[in-house]
Amino acid sequence: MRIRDNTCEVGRGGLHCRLRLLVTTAAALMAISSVAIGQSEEGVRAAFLFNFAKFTEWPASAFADDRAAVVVGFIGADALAVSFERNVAGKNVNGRDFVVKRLDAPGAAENCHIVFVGDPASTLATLGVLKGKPVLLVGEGEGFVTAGGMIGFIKDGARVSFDLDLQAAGASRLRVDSKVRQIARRVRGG
Amino acid sequence: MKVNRKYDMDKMPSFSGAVSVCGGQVMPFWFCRAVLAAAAVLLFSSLNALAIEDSGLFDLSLEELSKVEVKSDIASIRAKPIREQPGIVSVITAAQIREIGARDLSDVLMLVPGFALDTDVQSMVGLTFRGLQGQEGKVLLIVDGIEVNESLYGSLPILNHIPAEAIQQVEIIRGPGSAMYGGTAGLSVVRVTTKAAGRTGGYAVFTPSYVDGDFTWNYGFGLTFAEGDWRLALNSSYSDGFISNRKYTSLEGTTLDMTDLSGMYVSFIDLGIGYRALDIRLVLDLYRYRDAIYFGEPTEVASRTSFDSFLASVKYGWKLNNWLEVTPQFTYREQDPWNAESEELGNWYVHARRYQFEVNSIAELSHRSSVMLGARYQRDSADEERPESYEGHGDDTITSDDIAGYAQYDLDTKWVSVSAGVRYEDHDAVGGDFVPRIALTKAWDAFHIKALYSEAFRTPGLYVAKDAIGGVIDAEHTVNYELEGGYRFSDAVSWVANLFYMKVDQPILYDSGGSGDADDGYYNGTTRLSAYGLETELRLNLRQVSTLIGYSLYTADDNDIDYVRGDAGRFLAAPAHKIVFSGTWRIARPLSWNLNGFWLSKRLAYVYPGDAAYELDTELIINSFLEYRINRYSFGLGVANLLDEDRWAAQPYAGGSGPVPLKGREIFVRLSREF
Repeated sequence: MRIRDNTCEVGRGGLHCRLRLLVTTAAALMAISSVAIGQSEEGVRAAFLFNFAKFTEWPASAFADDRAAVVVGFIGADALAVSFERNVAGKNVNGRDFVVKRLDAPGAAENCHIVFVGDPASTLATLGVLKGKPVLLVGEGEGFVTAGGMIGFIKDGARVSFDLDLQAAGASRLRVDSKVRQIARRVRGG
Repeated sequence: MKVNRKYDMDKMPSFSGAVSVCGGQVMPFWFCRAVLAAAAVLLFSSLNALAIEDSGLFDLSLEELSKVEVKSDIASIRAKPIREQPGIVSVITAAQIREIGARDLSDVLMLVPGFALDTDVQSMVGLTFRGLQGQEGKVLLIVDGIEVNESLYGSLPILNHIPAEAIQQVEIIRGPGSAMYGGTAGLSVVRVTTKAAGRTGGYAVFTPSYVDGDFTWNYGFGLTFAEGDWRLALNSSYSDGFISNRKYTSLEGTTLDMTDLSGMYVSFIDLGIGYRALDIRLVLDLYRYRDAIYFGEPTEVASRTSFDSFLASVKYGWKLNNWLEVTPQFTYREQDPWNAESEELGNWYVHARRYQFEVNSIAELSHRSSVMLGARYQRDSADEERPESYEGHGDDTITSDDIAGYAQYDLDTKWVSVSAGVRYEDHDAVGGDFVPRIALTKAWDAFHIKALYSEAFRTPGLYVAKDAIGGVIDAEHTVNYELEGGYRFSDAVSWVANLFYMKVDQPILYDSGGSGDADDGYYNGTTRLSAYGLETELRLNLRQVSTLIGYSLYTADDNDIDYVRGDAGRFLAAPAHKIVFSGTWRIARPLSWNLNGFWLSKRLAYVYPGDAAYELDTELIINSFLEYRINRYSFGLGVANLLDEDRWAAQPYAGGSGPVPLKGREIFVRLSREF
């Protein structure tokens, strides 16, 4: 960039000139590296759900055909459901679109491929209804996994992490990719 | 019974008067230049910052996603990542607390740069922060939205207080928070969120400990439950411990073996009930211990000291539409602070009450800006029953009214984020006080920087105002400048550091009467205290190993008040240098080992023969915690103060007490089960 200010012509290195050069250079460098990070917790969790769909393998019988959508159900997690639905629009995994369902009762979760249990009161009932069925069960906290869930989100410092129970996933004929395993804070049954 | 006795001291120096903004007495020249330079960088830092909306998260890899920071709202209106908070903020989560084997909140705070333990009277152990005593109304503790500091003096007993197993998260503003949190937040704000009804289940914890021939016991139980729109969370614990198994030496040279004379009996019950946006909180906090040190001198028979609290709050988060939320909150507190029962000295009871009503409203003006407006009214009262031996024996009732209005505006631009706040508080004992704050923050991919200016004030507690010499006292006023920078060297290594300069005008001090004709009581120091320093942390987070190393330093600047002066660069009781460290090795899937601790440089304190402040030895406290987890069970083996070092909590003012010794090596087992 050519500096047109007369006081900053080449060879005239006064204080004013040097300050301007310093500020301009700093601004340019900062512009290059500027990436503001400021996501909501729901946003991060929703993106994790998207990735879980991407890196989980369901048995062929879980889908009607090769193009059938991945059905994601939410029990009592409105904010997360909104974030997921809004951001997943137009996206697909392995050629499958997404269908988002808000579920009133665990019984309605049987036709889903992923169920997020945001209502603690429904945890045990949901786990009972879906036991052995090829549904990826995601919930909140370590307690969700110890209760029989497959993935439990936890807040690890300033970041969102999760515990993973491969044994529970395997019992439901789900194969979770090693990429997910590598990121999990704790892996059970691996 | 917290009435300091006479203690000889020199006269206070006179107020120097002249004030200049930069390079003068308000702040040192180098600090002023640094602030201006940072402000310039922030203002010019351009330009094409790309704010990633949540949709951008869906394009991140799993590994990238796992490194995205989530947010806190302890210093901001809307939740923001810690590195973008308009304050110097630390956050410690339940997982980290469990990993280090902490037993209570003091174990957690001792791993945070800037904090150290001190003592007041009656063996009460509190906190210093950045060199200054924080126990008397300057470090605000909030548990589940309710202020815990007692209302007579603002005291905060911290040893063995707030059980670790009940804590979901600790958020700390390492710096003043008065503009948001009022007149008890002059130095720092510690906000504890207990485990809530996020899931159905609970925990049970049993922690027996062994110290030098004595066993102590700690029990904890929690239950969370939700059904439809209802939520319920219960956290409870009982701890049977003691302050010390070491010998106390008074300034007169009398010694006291504290082993059987400092038992602590702490009960904590926190019940939360929620229905939709309604939140009801009931906290019973019974903090009791035996004490055989009467204003520095050992007594033949231990007295019983208690800080009992019953705290209740009802609030309703009323979301009027998708951009405006109004939250009215009513808080009621009953406290019996500093109560003492002594066969030797008589009983002293005081019963304090607080009614507080607050309305807080948050408006999301756009996705980049929000505004918060609030108002608060509180009435404090205390009924006292003094012992016959006490001068002015009899019953006494005092009240105090306080009304406050506050506002904050947060704006995120592509150049810089700005947070500006003000608070006006009118207290019927000290009149009105106005405090502004402004924060400029900017975070890039790897680097972040903050420039903060804030003012704070300390509202005197009921008894501070009551005992004011001549019946007149003003609020203490603090001005603070802070700079923070942080850099992520890689995904696993990050570093953050901050500089601070703080100046306390009209510090509220207790005059022991030795310097003149004044009666005992509180008054505003006719000079100032100021300090500058830095805090820094280096973190390494790998899959199997995570480590933290932190360092904090303060240097007293204006330090002419003999009552709190250690030497030219140090205040009494507070170490100028502190190093904290914590390392966790996840040895195998169910097994992890944490080694943590801190090192304190030599502190100045009055010790026998009491003619001057002497240096206490350095302290290196190392704690070890080994944990084995299987299914819902956890078995932990811990050793606190592994090296059996002498630990001291010294008095941060020349109040006639020698340093109170704390416990030596302690072996404990933690057995817990989740259900």
